Amino acid sequence: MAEKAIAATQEEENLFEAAIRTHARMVYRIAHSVLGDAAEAEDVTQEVFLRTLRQKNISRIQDQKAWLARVAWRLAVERNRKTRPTALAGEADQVPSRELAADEILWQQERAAFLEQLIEALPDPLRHPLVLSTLEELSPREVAAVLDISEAAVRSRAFRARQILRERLTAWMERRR
Amino acid sequence: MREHQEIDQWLDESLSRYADAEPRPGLESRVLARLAAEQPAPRTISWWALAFGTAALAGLLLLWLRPAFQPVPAPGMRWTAELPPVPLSLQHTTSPTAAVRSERPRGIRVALAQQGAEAKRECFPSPSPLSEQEKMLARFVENFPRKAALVAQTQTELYQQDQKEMAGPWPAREND
Repeated sequence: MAEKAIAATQEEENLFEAAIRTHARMVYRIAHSVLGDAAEAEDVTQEVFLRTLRQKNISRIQDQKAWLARVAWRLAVERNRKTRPTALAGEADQVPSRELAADEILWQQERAAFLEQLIEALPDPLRHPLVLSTLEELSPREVAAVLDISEAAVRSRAFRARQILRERLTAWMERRR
Repeated sequence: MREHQEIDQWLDESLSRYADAEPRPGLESRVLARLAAEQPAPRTISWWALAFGTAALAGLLLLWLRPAFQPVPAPGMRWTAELPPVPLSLQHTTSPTAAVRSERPRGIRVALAQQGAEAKRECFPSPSPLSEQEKMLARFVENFPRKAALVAQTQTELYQQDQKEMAGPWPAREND
């Protein structure tokens, strides 16, 4: 009986290690998509597996990928609420001065930075479906499961987010001309 | 239209930064190391404790049940149906144990006696086959019953005479 129990524990540890090796990168990317910071994303990645180890046997999780993705997203959002400044929307409306874009390279950098600000400034219900949809590890169905909304809602929100970004970027470019 | 395509392309480029975010090399190893460091005492220890506990419990149970087991005679061993009669002179009728025994309730003594009789009955006849000497004796009794009876009577008389001599006063030593 004891030997069976030890074997089961060993099997559980092997499963857990396999889950880490398979899904750690996806967990990191989800955390990074929410937090935008490498160190924070790695902290969240470690926290995800630590919590999973404490709370649940990995062998009992039917869909490990979906489970881990959801935990990662929740932890990242929770951490983001604590650390992220709330005035990003205002920052996104600020137009960088034309004097900074002296040549094409600078112009590209400026545009990329502005776009990043725009994405960060999106409201969470639009930003999360948009950013998670870009992760190749997650299908639309899995994104919907993570966010606890329907697939149709994921598509419509991502579409709406892109539309807003397009409009704001167009307006910014017109102002620069 | 061309501007529209450009804007979409820029958007995709910006979003791809989220998708292509790469952790520092060795993320999996760092996660495993952290888990190993923060994991409480390994579960195997508790399983070992469980195993030892179970073994100890089984041992105690065996010790508790052991008196209930009936001894099984070895193949070569014989049970004696009766002990030879003890001479009256050697019996301690006034011993303290006898007094204590006589104070026991009669019902218990009867029950114990019945229990002993049953135990004896279970042991007789002998579970092992007769020895060669016993077989020879049985053949002798069967073939020469008179002689056997005579020998038995002589043996009994000799035994009784011995008993009488043992019970009587011992002769004084010549040196005394």
